Amino acid sequence: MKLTIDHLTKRYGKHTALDNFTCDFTSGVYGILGANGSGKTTLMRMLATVTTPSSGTIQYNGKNIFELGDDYRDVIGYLPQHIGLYKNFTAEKFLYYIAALKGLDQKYASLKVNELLELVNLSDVRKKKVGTFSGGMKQRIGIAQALLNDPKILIVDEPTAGLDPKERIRFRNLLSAISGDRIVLLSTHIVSDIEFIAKEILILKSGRLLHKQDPQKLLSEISEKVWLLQVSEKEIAKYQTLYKVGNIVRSELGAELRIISDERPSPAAVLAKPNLEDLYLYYFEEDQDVSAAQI
Amino acid sequence: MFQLLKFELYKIYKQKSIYILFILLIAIVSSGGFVDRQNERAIYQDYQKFEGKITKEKMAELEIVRDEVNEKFDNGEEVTSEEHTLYGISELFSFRIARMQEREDEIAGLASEINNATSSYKMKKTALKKDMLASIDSSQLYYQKGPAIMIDMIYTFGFVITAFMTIIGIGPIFSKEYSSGMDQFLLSSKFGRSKLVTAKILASLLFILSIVSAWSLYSFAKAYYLFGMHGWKSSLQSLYEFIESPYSYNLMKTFFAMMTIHIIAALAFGLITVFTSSLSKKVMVSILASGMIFGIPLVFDTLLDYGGTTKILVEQILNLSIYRFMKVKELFSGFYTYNIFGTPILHPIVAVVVSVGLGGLAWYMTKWVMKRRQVSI
Repeated sequence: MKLTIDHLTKRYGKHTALDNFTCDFTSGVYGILGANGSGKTTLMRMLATVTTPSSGTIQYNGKNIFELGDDYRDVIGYLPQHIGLYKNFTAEKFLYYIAALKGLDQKYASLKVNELLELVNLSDVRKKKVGTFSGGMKQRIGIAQALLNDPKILIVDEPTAGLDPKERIRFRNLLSAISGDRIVLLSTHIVSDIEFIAKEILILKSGRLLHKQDPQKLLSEISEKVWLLQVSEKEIAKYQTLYKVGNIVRSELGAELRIISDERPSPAAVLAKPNLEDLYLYYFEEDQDVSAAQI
Repeated sequence: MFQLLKFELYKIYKQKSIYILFILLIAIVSSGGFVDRQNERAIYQDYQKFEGKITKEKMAELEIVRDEVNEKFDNGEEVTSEEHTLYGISELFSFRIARMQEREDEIAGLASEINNATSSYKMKKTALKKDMLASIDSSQLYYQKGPAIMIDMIYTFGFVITAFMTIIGIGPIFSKEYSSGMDQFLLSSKFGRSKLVTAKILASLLFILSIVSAWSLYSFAKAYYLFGMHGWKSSLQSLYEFIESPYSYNLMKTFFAMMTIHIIAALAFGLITVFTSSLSKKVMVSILASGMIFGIPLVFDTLLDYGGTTKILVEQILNLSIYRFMKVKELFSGFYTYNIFGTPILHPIVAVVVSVGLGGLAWYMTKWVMKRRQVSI
């Protein structure tokens, strides 16, 4: 099973949302990391065939997915970033509807709906209208619908948005468990979503693919760029101006700064073991709102 | 497919707006004048003796009543309701006979027109009209108020109810999916671009049929309750609006012909509405677009006044509008043909062919659009 993306480009007028994207996917979880506007959603939409490329191709086992049409859509599960649900449908009815759209026969659909409602912890509210659900519950329904047809390719765009930490861990574990014989493409800007489950991480910036490597290799590239530095309260602002600063741990003595820098920021600074959050900051200087999501 | 159809029907019928609108429209239709049901029963009894063929004996009998009533009028005496009815029947008899004579004269005139026709088409058209007029038999009289109001309902309120309900019920069928964000689920699923589109189209058509059935049922119940179901054998020309119609139909045939054409045109309008919905990301735009397709000809037809050549031009355009096809009345009230390769084709046939063509095109285009549909930015 192979998904091959070749020189994929998407333009909206003069704006290029995705630029010359080329890569292959085989079984496993792929984390697609990027700031807002990096092209993640555009890529996911093209993979889900809800948007067509301006140029380039996507092939599934050697065949163009847009020519495969229904046959390709039969093997995918897609959770879009912003989901809209029928407010008047109950959770159960909504899943039955999606099952019908996916061409599942009624008996199998019934089994899957029960199984997935259990899996996403919504069995108790199966008869409740989706319109009454919280954001997290809606997201869980979205996850359930994506899994209804046991997709060979699972495309999930910001799947953990709105989930509480427990649900997020549960979802991560689920993805990890099912990824053995399928391609899971997970886009996020929350690094903890993919830190431990991704086979490879793709870093997208301004529509371009910067890196596609396994997490350890990516981290090794910044192995000498993450520093810990003990500073006084007054010095924090100075370092924040001069360097990319990640975590700030305050104590009675002042603060410990986690600085991402190609050079040692101070003779007193000591090297630290990098994590994906550092990696994110290293590449996405302008968008530093990731740390809050770390579990 | 059946599952998808069920869901699409569920989505359509779950809209509260369609029930509110339907009740409102029926309330407007029902707000007409009061009908004395008992009096109508009595009128029907008075009619029975004179129903059927207009004969000299019946005319002579009515002539006596007529003289008596005239005398009472002159003396200022009160006239019974029976006398009133019989007086009316005698007038109808006279009117029918006069019309029959006029028709005979018109047929004679057409015969000479055929001889002087300047083109083959004109000759065929005139011959067709002559044959149609010759086949009309309006020499029978029946009490036909029940069928009359059922036919009247089609072109006064029925077609408006169908159109409004279609616009409100079907207008959002695709655009609501786009505006709610559900389109991403639909377009990425196996049948989202194929069977779902067919299911939505079929659900729309079924919805329209249910609407037509609903107001027809209302119309039937109202007609049956107030007037009874008598007089279906009466000629189309017995209806004031169709005095000059060249179609030799009785009211039963007229009703079914008009309903059939109304339904075909309504289904075509439904398919056009589905198509406009497939193009529009906003529900309101979709509703406005389909509303304009129906409403603009309606405004031109009912609110604006023209004279001379403008009127002829507007009429020609209106005659090919989906609005007039749904209204049906003008298709049967006069003689109007189209020159198709030198052959005169009657307006109702053209209406059916154009409706089927437009509907088919809208169906195809909806499928085409949905195959290529992309989610918005």
